[in-house]
Amino acid sequence: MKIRSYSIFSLLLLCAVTAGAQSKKDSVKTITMEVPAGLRVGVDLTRFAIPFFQPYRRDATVVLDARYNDRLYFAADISYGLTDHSDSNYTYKSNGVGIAIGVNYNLLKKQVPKENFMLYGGFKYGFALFSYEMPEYNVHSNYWGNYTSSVPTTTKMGHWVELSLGVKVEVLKHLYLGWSLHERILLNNSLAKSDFAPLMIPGYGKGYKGSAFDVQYTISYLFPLWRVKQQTRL
Amino acid sequence: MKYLLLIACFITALTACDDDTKVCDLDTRTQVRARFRYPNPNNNNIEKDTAFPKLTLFALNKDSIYKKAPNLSGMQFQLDRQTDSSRYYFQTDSTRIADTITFRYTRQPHFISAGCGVVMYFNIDTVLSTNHVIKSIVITSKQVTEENENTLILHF
Repeated sequence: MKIRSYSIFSLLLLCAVTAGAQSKKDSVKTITMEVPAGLRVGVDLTRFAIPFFQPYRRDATVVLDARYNDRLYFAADISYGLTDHSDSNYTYKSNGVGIAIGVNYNLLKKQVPKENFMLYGGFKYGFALFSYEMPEYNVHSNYWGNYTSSVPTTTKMGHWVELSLGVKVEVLKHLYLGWSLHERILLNNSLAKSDFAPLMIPGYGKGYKGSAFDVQYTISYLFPLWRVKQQTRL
Repeated sequence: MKYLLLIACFITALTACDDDTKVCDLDTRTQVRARFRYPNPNNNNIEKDTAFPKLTLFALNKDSIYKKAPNLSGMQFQLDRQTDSSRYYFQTDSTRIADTITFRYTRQPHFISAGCGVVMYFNIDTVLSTNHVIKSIVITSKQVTEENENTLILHF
C-alpha cells in the first residue's frame, strides 16, 4: 500500500513538472527575422601544425560553407596532400587532391539574434584523386637477407563518407573560429586492404586503414551575400 | 565532467597527430609454423603431439635455424624471399636419417603499415619431402602472413 501511494505521488509529481515545463515552453515567444548569410571561407589551421608531428606530410585544407536556411548549411572541404617519406624500410612519394561535399546542421536554436555561433553535426561524401609510388622498399630477413624492390607510380581514387561534430563562433564581425571532430569511413575499402595501400589519401587520412579520425581547427571569414529567415526564441 | 571531455578530446587529437612511421606495433615475421604429430602406440587411429630431443633444421647451403634443439613439438622458419622455392634439411635426432623438405610457393609483397613497411606474404603450392622419418605432410593453411597461423602438420 505504501509503495502504491508512493507510485501515485511520483506520477502526479511528474505530471506537474511536465505541465509546468509545457506552460513555460508555451510562454517563450519565437520570432522570425531576416539575418545576413552568405559564403564562409576558411582554412584548417591544424594542417599547418601537422608537419611538426608527421614530417612526411604537407597538407592544406580550405573549408567552405554556405547557409541555406535557418539551420542547414551546405559545406565542402577541399584538400591538397603531399607525402614524402624515406627510412630503412621504404621510400614513399604521393600527391593529390580531395574534396568532401555535404551538409552541416546547426543543433542550437537561436536565443540572441545577434550572436552568431553554432554547434553542428555534419555529413559529407568525400572523393580523392591521387598518385603514389614507392621508389624502393626492403623486406628484411636476418636469415635470407633483404629483398629489395619498388612500386611504380599508380593513380588511384578513394571515396568515403564522413560524420562530423563541431563548433563555430564569431569572434570579430564576420570572422569565425571553430573546431570539429571528423570520423571518416572509406567506401572502397579494397584500397586499404590492397597489397600496396596508400600511406595517405588527401582529405581522408591514413590510406591503409578503413576508417580515419581527424580534428580540424578553422579560421573563416563570412562574405554576407544574401539573407535567410531565422527563428529566434525570445 | 566537461573538463574530462576536453581532456579526452585533447588526447584523441594528439593520438591522431602521432608520427606513425616511427612505430611498428605488428609482428612483421611471416613464418611457416609446423607441428609434429605421432600415432598413439596403443591405438594407431589416434594421433598426438610429439616432441623431438635433438632437432636440426637449416635451409640447404645456409646456417642452422635449429641446431640439436631439445624438446621441440613444432618449429617456425622463414621461406626464401628471393625465389619461389626453398629446401630444408630436417633431422629429428642426430642418430636418425635426415629428411629434405621442399616448398614451392608464390610470393606477394604487402604493405602493412606506415611504421612496419612491407612484409612478404607467401602462398604455398606444394610441400614435398623425403620419407625417412617423416610419413606425410599436411598443409593446414596455404597463406603465410604476419597472422602466423599454423601452416603444416608433419606426421611421423
